[in-house]
Parts: sequence; structure tokens; C-alpha cells
Amino acid sequence: MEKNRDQDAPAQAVPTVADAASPDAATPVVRLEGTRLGDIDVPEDLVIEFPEGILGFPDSKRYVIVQHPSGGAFQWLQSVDDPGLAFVAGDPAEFFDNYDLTIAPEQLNAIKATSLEEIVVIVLLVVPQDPKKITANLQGPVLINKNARIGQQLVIQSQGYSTRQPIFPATRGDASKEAAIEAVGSASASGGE
Amino acid sequence: MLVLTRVKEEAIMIGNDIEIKVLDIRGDRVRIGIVAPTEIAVHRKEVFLAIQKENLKASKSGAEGIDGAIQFFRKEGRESEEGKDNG
Repeated sequence: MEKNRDQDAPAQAVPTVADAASPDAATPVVRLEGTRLGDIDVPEDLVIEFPEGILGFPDSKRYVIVQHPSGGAFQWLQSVDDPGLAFVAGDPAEFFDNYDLTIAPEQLNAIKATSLEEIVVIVLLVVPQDPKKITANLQGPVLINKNARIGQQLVIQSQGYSTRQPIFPATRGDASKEAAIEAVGSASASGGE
Repeated sequence: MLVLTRVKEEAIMIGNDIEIKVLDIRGDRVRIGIVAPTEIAVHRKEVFLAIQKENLKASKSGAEGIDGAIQFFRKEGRESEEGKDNG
């Protein structure tokens, strides 16, 4: 199955903590203290289960998507099991024009989905101090079943994508080698000029 | 680690459903065939480790970097509110 850009639902289609209505007393809420975004209250029904966790963090199985306070294309994949653990993430369609994924039926099954319409794809970002150097891991996208609230990180090895794809095209005059090398090496997923 | 020695065409069973077979040996390259249920992910280890390493880096990203990124993102003219380029 090919998941092309036009079939991407925006990652905001998974309700995030920022846009949840203020929970009333009856809504079960998990309080996370000491996250990178401070203390946050997470409605239980927004929690996403990751049966396999995220690679490298096998003990954290529950996450929630939190909108970054300034909004925009950046979100946080915040662990509910470990408040100190969070990833910056985003909808790859915001950054790349041709990030096309081939998703196998068993990969859909793994998150109990039967069609591409039920899932959203987000990619995890490494955000250094210099925003021009933000990279996305296109080799390890995260698939989320919107309704069943189940997620899994895929390992893509055969499609020539990079684990460190710059999300901004190389800035004019930018002498950094990394952006140039990665952009050339993964031309199929470049952000375009 | 369990260590077994196999020659070409010999195989190993892991549980009832996973089979690993040595298909061919040429010089220092071994061609390995794997039969496993589709729900079990099979990957070259270096790919798995590369993703794991990148996840670790990603988990250390700071909130400060994001605000700068959002400003930069807007200047680049790729506002998420404008919708997709190709329509």
C-alpha cells in the first residue's frame, strides 16, 4: 500500500492535549509532573498505546501528543509512563513534498488498522540549538491509529530514506556539510527548493 | 548468546515459527534466509541501531530550540496554515 502525501491526514487529526476541552471532574486525567513543558494534565482518553514502545525506550508504552505552545508544525510525543521523556515530532507532509511510504498490511495490522485512512504518520525530530539544523528521522516513522489510539515506530530499510534528513533546504551560504551530504544522499525525500 | 555452527543449506529453528537458513557462503559474505510470521519485524541490526540512536538524540531535544525553529519555519514561508503545496 502506498501512502502518498494527498492521503496524509494532518497529524492534528489525532486530538492533542492542547485542544482537548477542559476536562470536567468526571474525565479521568493523568497528571505529568516535570515534563519539558512543565506540569501537564492529560485526559486518559487521549493516551496512545505503543505495545512495542519506541526503539531504545522499551519501558515506556503510553504516550500522548501535545501541541507545542507556540503552535505551528511542531508537536511533542510525550511519554505518559515517564514524564521526563518526550520527542519533538511533526507531520512529515509539512516538511517534505515527496515522503512516500509503502506500508505493508501487517504493519497496519500491528496497530489494528485496516486502511490508510485510519492512520496518521509522524516523524521524530532532532532539534539542536540552531533551528536550521533540525533533522527528521525518515527511516523510523511513527504510525498511529487515530481511533484505536495505538502506535508503533516502523523501521524502513529498503526505501533509501535517511535517519537525519534536514527539514529545511540548505541555507544559502551555509557551509555545514551535514545538510548537504544528507540532502544529496536522500534526494528522494528532499524538501524541495 | 547461543552459538551454533552451520554449513551451507543448514538451518536453525527459533520457536516453532521462525527459521533461519544459511543459503550461500561466498568469501566473507553469508546469505541468510529468514522465515518468520509477518507480525515479527526482521531488520538488519545496524538499521535498528541507527534508529535507536537517533531516537535517543531526539529525546534530548530542548523546548528552547523549538521556538527558534517555529520562527525560522515561518520565515521560510512554509506556514502550516497555508496548507499543502501541491493541493
